[in-house]
Amino acid sequence: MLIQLLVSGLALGSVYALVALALVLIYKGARLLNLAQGELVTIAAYFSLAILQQIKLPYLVAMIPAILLAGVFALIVERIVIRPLIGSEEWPILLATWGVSITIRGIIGLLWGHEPRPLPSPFTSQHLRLGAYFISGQELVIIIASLLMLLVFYLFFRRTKTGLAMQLIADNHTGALLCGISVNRINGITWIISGMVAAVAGITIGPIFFLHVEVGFGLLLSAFSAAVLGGFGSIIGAILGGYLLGVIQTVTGGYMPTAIKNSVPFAILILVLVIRPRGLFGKALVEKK
Amino acid sequence: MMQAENKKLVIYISLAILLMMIPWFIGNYLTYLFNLSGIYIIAILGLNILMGLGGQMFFGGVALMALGAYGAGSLTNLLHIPFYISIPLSGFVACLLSLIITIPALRLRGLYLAMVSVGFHLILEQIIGGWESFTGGYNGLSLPKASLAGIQVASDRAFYYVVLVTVILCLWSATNLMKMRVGRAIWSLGQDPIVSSVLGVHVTFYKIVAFMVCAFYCGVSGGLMAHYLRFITPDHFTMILAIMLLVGMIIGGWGSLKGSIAGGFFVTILPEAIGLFKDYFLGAATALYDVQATISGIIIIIVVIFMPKGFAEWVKDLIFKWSYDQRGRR
Repeated sequence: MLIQLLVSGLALGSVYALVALALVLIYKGARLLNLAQGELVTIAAYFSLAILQQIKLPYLVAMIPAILLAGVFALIVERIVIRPLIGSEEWPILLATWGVSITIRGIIGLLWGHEPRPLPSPFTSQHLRLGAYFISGQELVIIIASLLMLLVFYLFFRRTKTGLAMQLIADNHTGALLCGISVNRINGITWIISGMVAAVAGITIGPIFFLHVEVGFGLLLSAFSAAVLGGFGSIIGAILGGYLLGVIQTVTGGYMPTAIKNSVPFAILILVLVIRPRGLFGKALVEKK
Repeated sequence: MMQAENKKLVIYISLAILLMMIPWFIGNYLTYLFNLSGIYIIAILGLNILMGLGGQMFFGGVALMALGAYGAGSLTNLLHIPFYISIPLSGFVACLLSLIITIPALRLRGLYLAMVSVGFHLILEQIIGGWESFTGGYNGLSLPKASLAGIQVASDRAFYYVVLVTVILCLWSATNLMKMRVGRAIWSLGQDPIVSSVLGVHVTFYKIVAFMVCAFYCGVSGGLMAHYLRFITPDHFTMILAIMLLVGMIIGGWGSLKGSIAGGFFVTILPEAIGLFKDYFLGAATALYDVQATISGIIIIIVVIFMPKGFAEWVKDLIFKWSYDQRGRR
């Protein structure tokens, strides 16, 4: 029982880790919280659903165009909404991403309706037998996909010029400008990447959760809690926080009623913010009150 | 001097007579819309004080409304308190219960507060939906008809006066509050917390006060809504209403108390207008909810990008520029 719960928890945690990673990437790049991140997850899952229905591609192959589409979509959002607001205060950008989130939710509702839809995947019916335990194939797909993504990211940040530039911008915005790095271009790339990361999360979790307009928003809140748990602004923290939150939530859900399971991310968010606002791995920051 | 005072008095009296005659010239449905606008005006007023003037990013106004509404509902059903007492009391109920969120919120600012308040809304929705023995869950909570000294105040037209009086009292009290020491302290928090603390404003104390003032107005608005609709479910207090109130606030202008009036009417009229046009353009099958979400999202984006001071200020600027051009031409 516990091992099965742990594996499911890791699978859920992988999704949280990916969304939290996307949130933190954008936060570090441009100092803004993207409230539309959850909707980027949802719309990517719907893209893959549309691709699966229109062109009969296998599930794993259909992921690729869906991920690319999601990246392009994120870039469009950045160009239209975020770029004109760069340099303004914190709240207008927050409100604007909130507006994007609502608009996407409305558009999804208009195009695909409100009834929950399954995202067909061949792995949901397959199980891996480990002694007395059964592990769902889709959960393994999620864990493997997220680990692959994280590996790609690690290499990207360490080995490529763009990755290094992104790290520099996160570290010191003005310094990056002085070094001749085009902050606008890097911000665009950051948005593409975070859209693609969110897409991987959406497409792999889709077959387990039914697709619904509200899925993304719940994920956003959980991912934010995960990022805060790990220390908001720290990439490693976001990933570890995501796995930790997923495991805690699933294990709690195994022994307690569903209503409590759903409130776990929020309870953890409040607890962390009240007891240790910098999270598990974050640096202490001195900020204006 | 005397003449100016007299002129003001005449304007106020004629405005009062006009407002009191409105429901006798328009039908029941329009009166219903007026009442709803009044209810939203009060909620937006509260949010304007906290967000627009106090500078706190708080998205949980509708949750506070729900606290007020269920507070009014249980006060009336369990203790049989008349409506004219339970409406202000519902404001105090929301005030007290809001401390649950206010105390953790004191340590937060900016985006952390925004996310926590969204979470607060979602959790409260689950609690209200799940706690059936007290709130009636998704089956709803019914309230008895309101009556004043033996006369029933249940029709749209009769309730119009209740809403009118409450709105005027709220607007009057809020305007005066913002001129007082407390109000100016809240305003200074929105400008710059560090500067205001240097000037001797107790930041934590006035933050609590700002939250409680907002909770009071939102609670009164919720209590009014409960007594007016006489049937409340968690579906009356959705995220989309929270977003609509935000849109209303932006339309009226950040921190503009008079703008709340325009915002309240806008929040009521927008779904009606969308409902009218939707059938022509998109067919009757599409859900109103989706169109409303899309349009209000786009409005938020446009206003934030192109009219950073709010819609009302933008129009004012436009008129000013236009009149300036006219003068220049002459």
